[in-house]
Amino acid sequence: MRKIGVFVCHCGTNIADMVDVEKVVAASGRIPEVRYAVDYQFTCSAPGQDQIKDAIREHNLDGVVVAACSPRMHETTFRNAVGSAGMNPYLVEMANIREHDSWVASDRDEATRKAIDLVRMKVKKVAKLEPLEEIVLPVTRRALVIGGGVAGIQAALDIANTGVEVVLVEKTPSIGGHMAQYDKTFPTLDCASCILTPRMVEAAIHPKITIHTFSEVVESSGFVGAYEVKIRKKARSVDLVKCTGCADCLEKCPVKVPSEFEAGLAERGAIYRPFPQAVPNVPVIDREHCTYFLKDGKCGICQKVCPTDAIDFTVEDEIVTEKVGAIVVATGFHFYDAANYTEYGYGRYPDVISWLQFERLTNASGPTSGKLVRPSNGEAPQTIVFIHCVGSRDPSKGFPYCSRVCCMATAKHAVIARSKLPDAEIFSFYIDIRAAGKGYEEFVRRAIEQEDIEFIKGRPARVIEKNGKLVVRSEDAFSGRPIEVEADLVVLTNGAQAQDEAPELAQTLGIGYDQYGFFSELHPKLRPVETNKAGVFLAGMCQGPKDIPESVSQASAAAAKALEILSKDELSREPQVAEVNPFRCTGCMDCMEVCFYTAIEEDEFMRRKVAKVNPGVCQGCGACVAACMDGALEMKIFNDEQIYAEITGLFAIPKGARKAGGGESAHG
Amino acid sequence: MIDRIRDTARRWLADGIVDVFLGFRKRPDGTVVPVRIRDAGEADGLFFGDGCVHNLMGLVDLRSEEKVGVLLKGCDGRAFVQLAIEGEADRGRFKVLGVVCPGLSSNGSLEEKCETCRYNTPPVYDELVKEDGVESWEKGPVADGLAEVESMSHPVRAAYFKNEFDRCIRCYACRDICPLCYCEECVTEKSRPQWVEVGVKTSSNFYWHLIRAYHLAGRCVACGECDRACPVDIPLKYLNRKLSREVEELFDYVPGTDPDATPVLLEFKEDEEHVLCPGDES
Repeated sequence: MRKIGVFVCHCGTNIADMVDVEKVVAASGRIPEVRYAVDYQFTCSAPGQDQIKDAIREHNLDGVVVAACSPRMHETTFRNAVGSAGMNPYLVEMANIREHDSWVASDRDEATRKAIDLVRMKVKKVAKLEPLEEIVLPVTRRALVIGGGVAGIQAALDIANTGVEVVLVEKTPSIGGHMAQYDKTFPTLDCASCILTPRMVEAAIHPKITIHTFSEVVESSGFVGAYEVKIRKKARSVDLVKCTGCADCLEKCPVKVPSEFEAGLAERGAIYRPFPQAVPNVPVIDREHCTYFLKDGKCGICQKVCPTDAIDFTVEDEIVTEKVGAIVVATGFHFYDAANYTEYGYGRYPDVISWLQFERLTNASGPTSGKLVRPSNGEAPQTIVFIHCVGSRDPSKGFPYCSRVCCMATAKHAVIARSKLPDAEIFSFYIDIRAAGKGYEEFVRRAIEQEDIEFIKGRPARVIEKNGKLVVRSEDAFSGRPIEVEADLVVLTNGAQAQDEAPELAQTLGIGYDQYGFFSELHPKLRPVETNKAGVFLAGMCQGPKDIPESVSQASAAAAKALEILSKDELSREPQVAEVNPFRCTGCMDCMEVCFYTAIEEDEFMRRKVAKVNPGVCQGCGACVAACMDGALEMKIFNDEQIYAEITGLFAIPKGARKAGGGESAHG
Repeated sequence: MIDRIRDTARRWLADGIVDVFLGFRKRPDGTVVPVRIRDAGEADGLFFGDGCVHNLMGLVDLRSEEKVGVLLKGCDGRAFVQLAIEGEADRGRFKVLGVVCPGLSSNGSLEEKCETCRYNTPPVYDELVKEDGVESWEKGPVADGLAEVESMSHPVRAAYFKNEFDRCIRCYACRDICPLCYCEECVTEKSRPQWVEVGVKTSSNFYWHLIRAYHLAGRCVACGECDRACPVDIPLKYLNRKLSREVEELFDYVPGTDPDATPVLLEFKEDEEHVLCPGDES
């Protein structure tokens, strides 16, 4: 018979106030398997742990029940404690007499009885536990960073600076992300490019960073420490090595399409580079618009003018496979399509513009060289209206959440507008001003008090064009009266949305995402950069709206988390995984269907097909165990026998003992 | 029709399309038994008609790699489809000779399972035979005696089933004949833990029949074989029919009728109407 020790924790007064701890100890001592039972004020403290270790040595225990808090809280603490005393760490169970008992009970006798029941159940379970060994896996000491915006660049640099190789994958032709499009950043108004482009270059020339631009992750397999990721490098048609970036091809291209980088305010050719500081500074051919591809080989001017023979129309997409140990996902966001607010006329009135268009209009490298003008006639606007929360905080549009950065962005825009047009009238329509952040509130006060921006509380109902003016109709929530402003320029501060491809990428990687497509962190408070998939971490907007400093902080945090894995040659992980009993398995593979982690594969056993769990990939969620109709799958530490023992433990009391009170007589 | 069945079986065996053919044979005493034939010459002994009540899918070795030809009625065909979508029967290994079932009689009256049958044609087949004048059909829910059982008060119903289950000798014929009971190791045979007591007594009999009914929820194809095989005439059909109807009403799912379906308990829809989450009104 197993020799089990029971350690009952007071948790200060958390438990002891509602549970008669001494009675629990006494009742535990009467369970046949229990060799030793004792209580302590804080079992998780150093002396509390020593009490366990000493008891293991003194009484030669081979099983431990700690009656205390949730295993979520201290299971690892106690596993480590018994492990250091030479016992197998997986012969420990926690009876949760705090969250499940003292905190929710109102009757001391009842709570004490329940505590005794819980302890008895766990003792019966521990009697059936098997010693387990941790699973040891080798680590591929390389990292993959998906997304080359400011967060991805930061994560890549942080990891690479420790000497670990990084593969950085960017969907568009250049790294830089949205930040490269911005004019200035709040609340300091420093120039976005001036702080971002040096980091882009740093990443580009870093000996430990390999950048795949114009590329996408298409497949991922493996597990923490040993991922194998397939990346599609889309055909760029311009050789990255041969091209010198002279830009001769750009001038000669006869095609004109709206430039994505300039938010549609300027045009680009079919061969283009997003912006002059692009990294790599090598153009790409947009085959959907290129005459050569549309008209069967006609044109080809760029190829003729290229002095280094860098243009090749015949290249095709290429799949490269990268082996990495950890992945940082930093795929960013996209701006809400303001055209969905038909009442504001975006797309219909040229002088109703979006956040990004405003950024480009004030940016010295933008289409107007930084002159803030009305797109319709090129004249300086006399009256400018900003509208907050376009696509944010609006359940009717399906986006009830706050995009978090727009209040500050709008304040920034208004202050920039003021600096360019000292005499203009500037209005900002808001629902609430959210300026929580270092220096943020001060910046908004500055906009209101020093820059003479008129902030009006109200969500405008519509924008209509009248005699060449844009009439903005709203309510002024403070006076309760309707208000009309005749504007020359209306700027819609459109919110942040998850990337359209986010759910697809989440499924490729096996990570969770929410109803809006933002990737889910493992724990909202304590594990904000980890995902449900070990070794995959999150940084930046892809996890939820956040500003640049937060994105950068999260990127560094994700890098640190990735390095926690990549700093080791081997990883050991907890052995609570599912296991197939091949004698019972009928090979229907339903388990494979329900496995979220692709941890189950086909195997052969006695010349028939059976399922097999890859313990390196399995996360121990138990979905397969529930799905298996043959009962062939079992979870270590939660197998049928152990759970059955727990259940029978609950009823293993002599008749009448329950009513007699106090659970004094704990076994028959 | 019998000629076409014999011709087809003969052809499939002779051409090596199948290694074995499962059908029926009538013995000299008039009783009908299932038969496995491996030689085209034996095809002349095949029979179809009254007495062919057995579900031949219950006799197929699901683990073998032999190519199997099998004669399937509507109910048997549903078993085949359900086994296929559960990943147990490999469609490519089977050649199905479907028969539009006219309904089978014994002692001059229609079998109970045929009276309440809703699908007389197998949902999938490679070839189909039918007797002149017999049409294939699909029906909605039919009167199947369940209402009478349901109308009993709780104590009366409990007493009714106790009385029925008390007769059970736990021979497990119901399990062994069932085409959908294919576990390599039945819950009754597991010993760590011992879910079902070995001894024959009311409580363990209850446990056995209820757990079997639940294991067949959303899977039973109403072939009635368990009922027929029971040597002490326990009306197992009521348990299966009750759960089948619940599943049909909740999930609009009739087992074995759609070869492209996902087994109902393996499918999860985020907007599932009948999944209750904590806090939902029940």
